[in-house]
Amino acid sequence: MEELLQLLTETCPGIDFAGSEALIDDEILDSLDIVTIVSAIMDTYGVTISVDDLVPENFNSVAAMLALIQRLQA
Amino acid sequence: MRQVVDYPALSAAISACMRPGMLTNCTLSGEELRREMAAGTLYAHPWAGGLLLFRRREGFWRMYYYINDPGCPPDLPWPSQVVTEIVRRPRDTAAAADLWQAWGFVRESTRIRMQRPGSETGEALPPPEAVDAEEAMDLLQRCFDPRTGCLPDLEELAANCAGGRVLTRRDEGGRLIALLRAAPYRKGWELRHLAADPGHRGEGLAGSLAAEFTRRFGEKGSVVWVREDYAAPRHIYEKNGFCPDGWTAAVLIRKDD
Repeated sequence: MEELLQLLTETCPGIDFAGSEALIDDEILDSLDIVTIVSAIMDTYGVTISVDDLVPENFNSVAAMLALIQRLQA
Repeated sequence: MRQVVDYPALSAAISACMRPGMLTNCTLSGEELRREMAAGTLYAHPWAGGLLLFRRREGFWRMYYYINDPGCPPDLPWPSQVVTEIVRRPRDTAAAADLWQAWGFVRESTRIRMQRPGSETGEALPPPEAVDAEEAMDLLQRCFDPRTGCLPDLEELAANCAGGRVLTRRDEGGRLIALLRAAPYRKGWELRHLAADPGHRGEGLAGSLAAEFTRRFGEKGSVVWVREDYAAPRHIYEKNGFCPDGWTAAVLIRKDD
């Protein structure tokens, strides 16, 4: 979790990832942020995220993103 | 470029482009891509520097890009009338619009985004007049360039009309001469179109529709995109509580060979 949090903070500086469970729903992240985050996650974790994974539920919180990564690594 | 007929292959090609430093203006969802493919209007062109997607429209092509190597321009026999839009947020540093202009596109216009915070409206208004989607579309088509006007398809417009999200003005003969179209946007609304028949401009129709919009929908926050060089609508929005929020969009059209 800490590693992912650090990656997200480096990728999208200025966003309080740890403090929100509704990053998309609360309009903290937008669709362009998601694309940037996806690129960073794929590069760092070696997973393939598809267009169909680009839904708010997968990016609303750090925990949701971690769950997506773990699902793709399984 | 080729028509897309294999969704998994397209999805894999997009995923392959998702690398750090990538430039893109594509925020189409998987559902939108599948629907476009099913309609036979989705085309793709992979090249060494990235991937282009095209949605075929009546008389023009709407282009989306994934660029991994800005030093490698796309190599394709370009179709005629290619339009693309590039949103830039205040925190963005990459200037993709400059790149595309170096690659043969010209800036048709710049849009700015304006936001209005939610506020107490204090009014309970009767439902807006029911309007026929085809009648509304006819007016939109008279008022906007189809290439750059972000016009909805008839199905989407019919849903807007049925949902009470199209506000109207008619002349004495009952002819539709102005409309405002709103749609849900995140937790609030987006004012998508404000159209006044060219023969009825300067009569205050757009201003009265915008004021009605704030009375009906103003309890929640709202956004609107407006051309930077169109002073009259900007003034109308400012008068109704909208302010620029720093987001801009370049509308680019490729110069035909």
